[in-house]
Amino acid sequence: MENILLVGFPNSGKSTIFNLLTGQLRKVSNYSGVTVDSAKAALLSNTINDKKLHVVDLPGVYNLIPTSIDEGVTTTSLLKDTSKYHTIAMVMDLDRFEASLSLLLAVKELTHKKILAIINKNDHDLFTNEHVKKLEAKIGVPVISISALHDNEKELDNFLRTKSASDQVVEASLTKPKMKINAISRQYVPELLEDEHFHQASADEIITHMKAHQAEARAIIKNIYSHSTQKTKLTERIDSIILHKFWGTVIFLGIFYFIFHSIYTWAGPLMDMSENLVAMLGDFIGQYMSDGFLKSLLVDGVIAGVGGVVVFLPQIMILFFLLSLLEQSGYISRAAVLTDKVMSLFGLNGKAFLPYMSGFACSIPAIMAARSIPNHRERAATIMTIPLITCSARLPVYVLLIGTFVPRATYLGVFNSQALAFFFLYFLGSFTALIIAKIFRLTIYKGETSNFIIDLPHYEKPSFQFAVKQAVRRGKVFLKKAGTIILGLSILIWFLSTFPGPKENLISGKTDDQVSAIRLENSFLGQTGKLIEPMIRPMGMDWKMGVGVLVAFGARELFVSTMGTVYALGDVDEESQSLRERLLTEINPATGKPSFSPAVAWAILIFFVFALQCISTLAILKREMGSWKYPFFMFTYMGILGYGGATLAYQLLK
Amino acid sequence: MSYSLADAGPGSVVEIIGYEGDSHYEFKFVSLGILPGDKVTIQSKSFFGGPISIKHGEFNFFALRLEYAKKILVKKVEV
Repeated sequence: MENILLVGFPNSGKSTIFNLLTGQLRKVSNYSGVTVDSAKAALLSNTINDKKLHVVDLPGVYNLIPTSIDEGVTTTSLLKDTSKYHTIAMVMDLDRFEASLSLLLAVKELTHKKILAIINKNDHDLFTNEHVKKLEAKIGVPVISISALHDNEKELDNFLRTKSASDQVVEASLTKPKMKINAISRQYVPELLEDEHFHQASADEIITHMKAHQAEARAIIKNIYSHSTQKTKLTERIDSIILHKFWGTVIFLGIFYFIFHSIYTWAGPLMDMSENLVAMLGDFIGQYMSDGFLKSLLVDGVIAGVGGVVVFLPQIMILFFLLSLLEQSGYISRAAVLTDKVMSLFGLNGKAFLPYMSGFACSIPAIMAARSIPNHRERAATIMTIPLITCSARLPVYVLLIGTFVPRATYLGVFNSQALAFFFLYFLGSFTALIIAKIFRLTIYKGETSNFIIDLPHYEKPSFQFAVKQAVRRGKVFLKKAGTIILGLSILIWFLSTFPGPKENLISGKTDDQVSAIRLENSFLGQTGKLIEPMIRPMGMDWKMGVGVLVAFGARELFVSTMGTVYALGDVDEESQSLRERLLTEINPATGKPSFSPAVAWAILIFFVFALQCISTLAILKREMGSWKYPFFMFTYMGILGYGGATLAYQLLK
Repeated sequence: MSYSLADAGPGSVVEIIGYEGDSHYEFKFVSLGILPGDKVTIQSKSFFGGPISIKHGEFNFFALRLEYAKKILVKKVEV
């Protein structure tokens, strides 16, 4: 087993390369043993090769002098226990080429290990084979230029296999160079020893040393590679508008409105279509099976459950298609500049804006879009608060309850009371998301921003073909990974809402709608609803609403159809007059008063604003963050917010 | 009163002369190749003290938060 260390700048694409080489379903172990990101995993190609290689993704650094614990891990990994690894692969960022090369020179000076150079972000093939050869000749290190975005993992895999060190260098015979380190940075490398690994130096000495590497890097690159002046001029010209204080903001809002709009409107018909297809499939299979639990399991459990997930596919693919176009063109970094200030107030950076915006459509693509945030803690703070943004699945519930319980009125001639109620709920969700993100950034996800510097790559013409490929790939990942978890949970919900069946005498002579209602009431879910009634009482809810809320934990929009079943109304939607009338006239048998009141309706609404009722989100969160800890924590904190908020609303309004 | 990158207006060209504040910022700037003697053009500044976008050298573009730009000392260059 041989370890290859990946070393490079933050945001240079190390993790993307790591994922490319080791696959999505990798088993990751912690290389450094410290609780920072230093993932180690086997290459995918180990299964078909005798040589077993592992890659280690170390925290990104700008230099070897650490200014934080994370950066210290990289320096420590390079110098301590050098027998643990064979090769260092330097991931170089073509957008910051000189500086990346300077880091390579610093590492080269410090170790006798084999060094390889991976030039990443060659997304537009600007760094040619000829450049590669010239650079190899200059620095005496094997070089490959790749685009982690464009996925040529076979080539990269082959490069690492053929060029990595074949034997361990016998280090004892070589004098070990020591690195210079200043007194302040010493605290971040507690495991390194003076005399053996480093000697103390003043900050000025270190700076002089760094400057020498920079000068050397510049001299090397000057004769090898430069951007065309034409493209530089074009970029300058476009940026004078795109980054303009006023026009830049207008264009930015326009672009994001367009994205938002297309997720809503283009995805709409496609979503309806996939919903219909799922329903047709259910009917089709239903025809060929005799009534019974197997049919119910297949049609109501498996097909309906998995179908509920497939519905999100168009939104995900459209979003990632558009994002890929923007990313390829170079606009995304500009958007990050424009939104950085606002997001920084909440401890985040400009790159968090886009995932939040996407969250208004659906949390799932939004959580996936947060991958562009390089710093783990900033990404976690963003992802963990995205589901508080009002997504489109909450809309049916809002429409039903606001339409029924908020009387139509006009204030000041223009403000419609129902529209104001909608606005309030949207605002409440978004504002809470940002406040919680700020709290997270001050507590559990503390740390400096990763956006120390925002690189602004030259503008390039995006490839439609590549954007389609990206969209398809994201769609596949989503279906494969989320689908399996959702299948399991759908079957569970089906089981809980079907068993144990009601006694024969309860359902004889009843209509189908009534039978469904009785079946639900007698199921584990119905019984649970009754069991938790004392608990949900403070929110003003009875067991029927409890069942609706419980089912909605599968997916929020199920609340409406479940209310239809509970009240034996059959198929209903959020606009159904029969359901609205029923909600208004339902009497609580215990008190003789109406079950629903504006206070109850607001309690339910507030509950839906905060609580995490979406299995798909939990599934994708586990996938993106790699641990069940995150879904568990998100579910808990949002549940507490929902319960607390709803109770407060009911108690204040009743 | 020292003049920093954050004080320079859009369109102006400045030369980096040094850094201010903690040495670890200086480490970062130097590691990123933002060196004394380098010429920098201010491309734009955002609303409400958002990041400042600059062109560094012949063809590098990047943006810096204002709080970091304040740590880079510059002098004006006549063009």
